Amino acid sequence: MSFMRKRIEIEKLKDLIKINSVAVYGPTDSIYDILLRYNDPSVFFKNVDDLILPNELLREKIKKFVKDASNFDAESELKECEKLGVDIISCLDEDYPEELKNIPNPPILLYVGGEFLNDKIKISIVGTRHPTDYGIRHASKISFELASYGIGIVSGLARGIDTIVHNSALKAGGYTVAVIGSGMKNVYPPENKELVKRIISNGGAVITEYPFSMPPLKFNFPRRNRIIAALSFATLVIEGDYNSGAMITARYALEQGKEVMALPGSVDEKKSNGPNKLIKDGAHLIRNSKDVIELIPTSKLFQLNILKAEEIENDKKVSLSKEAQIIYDLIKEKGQLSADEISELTSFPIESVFLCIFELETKGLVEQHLSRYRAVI
Amino acid sequence: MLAKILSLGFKGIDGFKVEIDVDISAGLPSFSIVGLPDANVKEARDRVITAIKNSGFKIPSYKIVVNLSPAEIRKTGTHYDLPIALGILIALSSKKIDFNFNEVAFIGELALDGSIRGVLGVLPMLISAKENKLCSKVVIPSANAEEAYFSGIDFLTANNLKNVFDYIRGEVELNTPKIYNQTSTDEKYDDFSEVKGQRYAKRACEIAVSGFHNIIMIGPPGSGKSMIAKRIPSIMPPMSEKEILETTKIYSVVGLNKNGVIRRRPFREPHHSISDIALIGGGTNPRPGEISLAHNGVLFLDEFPEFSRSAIEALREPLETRKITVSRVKDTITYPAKFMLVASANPCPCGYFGHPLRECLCTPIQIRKYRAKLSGPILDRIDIHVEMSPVKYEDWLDKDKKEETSSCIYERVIKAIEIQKRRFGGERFNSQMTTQEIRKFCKLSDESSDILKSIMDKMGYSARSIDKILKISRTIADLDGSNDIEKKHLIEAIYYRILDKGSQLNEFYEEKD
Repeated sequence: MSFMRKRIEIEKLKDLIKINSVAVYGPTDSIYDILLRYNDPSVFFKNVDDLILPNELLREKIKKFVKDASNFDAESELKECEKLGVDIISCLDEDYPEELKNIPNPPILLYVGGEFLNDKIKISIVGTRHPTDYGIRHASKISFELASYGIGIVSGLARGIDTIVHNSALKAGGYTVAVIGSGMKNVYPPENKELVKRIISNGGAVITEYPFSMPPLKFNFPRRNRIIAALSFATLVIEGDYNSGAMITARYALEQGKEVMALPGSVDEKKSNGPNKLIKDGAHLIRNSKDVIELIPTSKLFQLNILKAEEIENDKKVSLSKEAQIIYDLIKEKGQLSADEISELTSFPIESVFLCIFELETKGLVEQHLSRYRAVI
Repeated sequence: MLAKILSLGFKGIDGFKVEIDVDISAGLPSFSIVGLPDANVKEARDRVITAIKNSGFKIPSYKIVVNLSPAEIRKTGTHYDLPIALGILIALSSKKIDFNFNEVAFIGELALDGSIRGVLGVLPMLISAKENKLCSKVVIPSANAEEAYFSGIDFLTANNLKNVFDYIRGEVELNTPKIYNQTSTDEKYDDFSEVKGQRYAKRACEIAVSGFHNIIMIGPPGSGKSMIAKRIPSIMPPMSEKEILETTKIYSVVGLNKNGVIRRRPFREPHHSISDIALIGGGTNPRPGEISLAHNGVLFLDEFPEFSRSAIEALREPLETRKITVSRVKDTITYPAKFMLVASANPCPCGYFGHPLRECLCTPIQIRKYRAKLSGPILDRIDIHVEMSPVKYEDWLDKDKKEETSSCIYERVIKAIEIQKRRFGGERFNSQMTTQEIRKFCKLSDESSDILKSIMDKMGYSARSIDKILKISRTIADLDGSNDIEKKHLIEAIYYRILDKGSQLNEFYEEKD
């Protein structure tokens, strides 16, 4: 991987790697401030007593910090990254994402697999690891459509909603970024190793703050959510209970002054508790991708591929036989119908109903769900 | 003094000749019956002696030995009373009796006052007697007259012991009553027009009956499964003489025919707690089971998953061979068992999985376990699966609409059955096709073949279920009067195999877990 943009020299990078390896265990504000003031990580490894600090109590902490950091093998870390083609962007580099500079606790380093497009407009879509069928359908549809319009989809590679939105974005041939809670070596969850490969080979990016071999420790995950929130202009919460990870990401977005959006759900559905509360507290109610587009700052709209969106709409206008069209419209109107109900409402004999359903099923317009048929959205 | 008299016996549903020897000699008074008599035959001793006495005959104390030949075949039934009593009277008679004992068989149970009661198994015995020329005439209780009439054999009826003895001595004539009141089966079956809606299930039944396919209906309580099952006989063709005979023979052996003839197709609905033996037949005193009582009719297993695993297993052989052989220590008995299997099940233990208005309370594991019972070799022999669900809103049902009557449906069914008669030349149906016959009779057009291929790929059907889909399409095509299996027949057939479809249930599990 060639470092084409202006980057700090290797020695300084190695120092930063060492510093980062310990910084990830706690808040990074003070370390970050010091780095920016001196623009040189090596100051940590010279005399800590010479550093100008906002607060003397910090000095002892930093001394301990430096002691731990010096033991880290930055040399092998660099080698591993080079072998795998992982790029490292530090907070002192020119191409460090702007948005990250302004948030509380910015990451010292970012390990990047694939291509991170700074200027592309991106939205984060997050949600529960155990979504309902409702959440699955809407998450995939919204992600697919937004990705096809040219909007990047950022998420956390977790099971459930995250995986769905990454996959839908890829299906649309779009751009997606996964921010993970472990080092590049130990992708979590393990079944998403394939997804990581696919994201990178399709031009997307997989990003982590964590050193190469760091395992997916529990506290890594809430922490990485601040990066997810930061890299996008808005965070959309699909489903999640009150104190779920998705809600943590929403809180970060608020803290960072970003837009928060939510997919409303049934009041009886626990998984919609989070989004519903967000909406009550002022988040934007999102029903579909169009609702999201309306919230994009006009300055960024020129990027989008609205033409492609129309293509998708037109593709859906498949030609149907007369009876099948009648049944399709009926299903869309009533929600879900059994074959009998369709027969009753249309007065078609049951044999004809099945012929039409077959046509609709094979054309991907209708799917069976628990002995009833409903429209594929 | 020795007397010989003819009677009949039955094993399974077949009759055989029984020659009764009665010997009376001096000695310590005793009365023994030999020739492997069952308990009910042994009890004849008391009945016979008392009946003789009460008929006005004196019976001195002697040693009486009765032999029922052939001695190595088990004898069962109460019908030996009459011939044994007659044998004793004949043996004691001083006058010589001129009677054609080789040609006439006697059957009847004796009441203590000497009157003759109806017995079980008359039809099988008389049919065998006629077919195998075991005798040329029989004397039977008047109660069994209708069965005797149906057998076609020459018969005479009698009311009491003395009557028959007088007849033997040539002093009276016995007569053959004319049968006016045949147990009528003009009583209407429950009709399909009484069921509102449920077109999917009704059509499935139409197809099932036409091709003799077994069928399972899955749906919540109140979706009409039992109601529809009970109406299946209403679209089946009337029984042929042969079928009436077979079925009556079976019912006669257990006494369920009310001494008459069974003209309606049987509809048997055993409870799911039934034992294996009661279901398929057998036992120490072998009796036909529910499957034989359903012969030529319908066996309805409501709440199919609740039946014991062993009972379901036991159904495998009769479903395959259409008969059941029960083995006992010394011999085997075979009962016919050609029935249409109709099963019903709830979609889950609580019954409301997939209900439009009520919530299912089961955990995914409970559902999985319950539905696992709907798999396996038995389900393999059920061709048609239907999912039933109550219509979501009452007002979606057109109340004024007249539902199709059973006789309308029957018009189509009988045409399809005729086609199959010509195709297979006899009493065979599409559901019974072998793999070669499927290949021969179910050729698909190119268009249909393509659809079949895409079904296998897209919808997750296995090669086995493809065979069944083809059989069902063949029946649907027959119902349509079409020689070829067209695309529309094939497509409809797919929707009767919903249990095969790959994913439907699994997607639900992933959500709930």
